[in-house]
Amino acid sequence: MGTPVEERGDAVLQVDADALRRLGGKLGTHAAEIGQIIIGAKAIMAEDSPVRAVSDRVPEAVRHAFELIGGNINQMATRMTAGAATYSELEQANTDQLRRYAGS
Amino acid sequence: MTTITHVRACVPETMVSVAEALSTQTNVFTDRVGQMARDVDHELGEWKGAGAAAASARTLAHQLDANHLAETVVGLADHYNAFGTELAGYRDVLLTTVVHATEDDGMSVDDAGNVTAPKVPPGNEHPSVPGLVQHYLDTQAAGYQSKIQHLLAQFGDAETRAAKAITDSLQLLDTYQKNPNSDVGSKVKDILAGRAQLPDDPQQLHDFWATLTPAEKDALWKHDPYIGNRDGIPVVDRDHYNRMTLQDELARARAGDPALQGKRDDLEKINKELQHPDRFLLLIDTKSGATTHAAIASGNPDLADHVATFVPGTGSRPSKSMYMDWVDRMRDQARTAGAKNPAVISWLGYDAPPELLDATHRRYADAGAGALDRFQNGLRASHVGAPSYNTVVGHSYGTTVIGDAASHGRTLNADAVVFVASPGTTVEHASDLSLTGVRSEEVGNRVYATAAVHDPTPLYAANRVGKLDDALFGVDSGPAIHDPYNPSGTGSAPPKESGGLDDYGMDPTDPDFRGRSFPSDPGPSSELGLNGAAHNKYWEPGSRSLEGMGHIIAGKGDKATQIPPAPPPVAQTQPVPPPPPPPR
Repeated sequence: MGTPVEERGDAVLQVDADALRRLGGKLGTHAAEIGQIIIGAKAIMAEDSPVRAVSDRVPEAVRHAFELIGGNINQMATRMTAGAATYSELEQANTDQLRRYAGS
Repeated sequence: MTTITHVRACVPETMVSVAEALSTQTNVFTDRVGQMARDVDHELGEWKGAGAAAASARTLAHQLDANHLAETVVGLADHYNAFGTELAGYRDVLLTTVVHATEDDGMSVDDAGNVTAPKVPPGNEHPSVPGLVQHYLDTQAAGYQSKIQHLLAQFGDAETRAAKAITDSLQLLDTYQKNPNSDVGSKVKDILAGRAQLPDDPQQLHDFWATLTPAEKDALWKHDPYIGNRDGIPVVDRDHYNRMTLQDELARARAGDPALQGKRDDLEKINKELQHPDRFLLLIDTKSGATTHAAIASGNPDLADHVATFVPGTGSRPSKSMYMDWVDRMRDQARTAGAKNPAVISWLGYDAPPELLDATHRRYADAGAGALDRFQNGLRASHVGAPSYNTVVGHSYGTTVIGDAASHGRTLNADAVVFVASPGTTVEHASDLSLTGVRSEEVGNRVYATAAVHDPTPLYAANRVGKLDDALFGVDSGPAIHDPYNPSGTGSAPPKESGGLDDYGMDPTDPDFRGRSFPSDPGPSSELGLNGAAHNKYWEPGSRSLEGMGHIIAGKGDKATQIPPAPPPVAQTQPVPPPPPPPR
C-alpha cells in the first residue's frame, strides 16, 4: 500500500494546483485548435500524373504530423487539469512523456 | 509520353493554391505551439513548490515548440509553389500554341503533338503554286510540332521532378513523426567526430543535405555555426541557420567579446537589413577575412526565375552598406522588364580593397574569385524547378573580381555578366571569359558593360594606366592574399601581378573588347568634365543604366543595347587629358 499523499511531504500546494488547472485549460484549447487544422486545397491533376498520386497523400500526412504535437499538448493538458497529487509525480509524468516524444 | 489530353486535365494553378494552404495552416500551427510554450512559462512563473516539477513541464513544452515539422511543411509548400508555377507556364504556352495551329492556321494536331498541315488542292492555272504553298505549310507544321512536343516533354519532366521533391518531403515528414528528436545517423556522427567531412562540391552537398533530418541539421549547425555558408544548401536552411549564428555573434559583440572586436557595426547593419520582409541571409562570416563577409538576397533565389548576384567594389563592407537599395531597384527593374519572380543578391563575400590605392592591386580579386565561383555553383545546385536565368553584376572593382572569376582556368556559373564602371576585368576580350553552360562562341553576346562619360574610374582601363606603370617601373608582385574559403587553392595561378599599379586589361565598353555595351547617363560633371560623384549614379531611379540592367537580368539583353544613348554633354572647357585615377 502506498503512503498517503499528505504524508509524502511533496504534495502539490493549492496555489500551484490552481496554476496547473489554468494552464491545463489553455493547453487544451491549443491542442483542440491544432486538431482542427486541415489542408483543404487540392491539386487537380490528370489521373495518370505522378504529382496527383503523391499529392493525394499530402493533406493527411501534414494533418497527422501536426497531430503528433497537438496530441502531446493534449496529454499535458489532461495531466494538469486532472491535478497531480505530488510534485514528484508531476515531474515523472512530464519526463516520461518527453522521453516518449523524443524516442529515447 | 505526355499527351495534350494529359496536360489539359492538369490544373497546375491548383498546386499554387495547395502551397498557400500549407503555408497558412503551418502559420496557425506554429502560432499555437509557440503560444503554448509561452503559456507554460507564464503560468508556472509564480511556482511555489518543487522546482524540478515546473522545470520538467517547461522542458517538455519547449521541446515540443522546437519541433521541425513546420520547416518540413514549408519546404513542401515551396515545392508546390515552384513546380505549380513552372507547370502552369508550360501549359499556357502549349495550349495557346495548339489553338494557333488549329484555329488560326488550320493544322491538325493529334494527342502526341504531331502536326499535319492542310492539303492544298491542285491548281490549274499555275501548277507549281500549290506545291510551293504546300511546302510552306508543311514547314510551318514542322515548326509547330517541334514546339508542341518540346513543351510536352518539359511538362512531363517537371511533373516527374515535382513528384520526387514532394515524395522526399513526405518521407522526411514520416521519418520525423516516427522519431521527432531522433539521434543523428552514422554519417552525421562521423562528421561530428571528425572522421568524415561534408562534401565540398555544392551539388553533392545539396544531395547529401536532402537526406538529413531536422535534428541532424541542428547537430551539424551546433558543430559548425557557419554551416549555412556552405554553397549548395537550400536557401531557406542557409537563412535559418545563418540568422541563428548572426544573433549569437551579435549578442557576443554587444557584450564586448574581443573575438568580434571591430565587427559589431557590420553585424548591426546586417541585422537591420534583415528586418525587411523577403530577405534571406546566405552568408555571414566574421572570421575568414579581414572584413566581415555577408550576402543577403532580396527574394528567394531557389524559387526565382531570374537571379542576379551583385558584387560591389572598393571599400565595400557591411557596416558601410549592404547595397540593398541598389539590389531592390534592380529587382524592381527586372520585374518591369518582364521577369515574373526575380531575386537579387548582394554578395560581399570577399575582402574588397579597403582604399582607392589598394584597388590598383589585383590580389584582392584573385583571392575572391574562387568564393564567387562556388557561390554561383551553389545557387545552381539548390535551385528548385527549371533552371533560373542567372546574371552576375559588378560595380567598379567588383567587375575585376567577376572577370577574374570567369577566366584564368576558372569558370563562372552564370548566363550573363554585367560590368558597370569597370577599371578592367583582367582579360583583353569578352571571349577570354568562361560562363558555365554557355558556348564559348556565344559568351561575347552575354557580356554587357556600361560606363558614364563623367565617371573617371573606367579611364583606368581605357588609358591602360596599369600597363603604363608596368612599362615605367617594372612588374613587382605584391603580397598574396589567400582565398579564405579554399586555403589549398585550386585553379590556375593568375598570369601576372604588379606591385605598383596592376593592369586589369581592356576597357569592357571598348568595341575591341567584343562584348556588348549599353548606355549610362553621363552623371554629374565638374569643370574638367570628370566627376567622382558620377561613379555611384548607375542605380539612380529612371537612369539608363538601371533600365539596361533590368533588361539584362530579365534575360532580354538586346533591349538594353537598344536604349538610346544620352545626348553628348555640352563642352564647358577644352578637353584635358584625364589623370590616371585609381579604380574604385
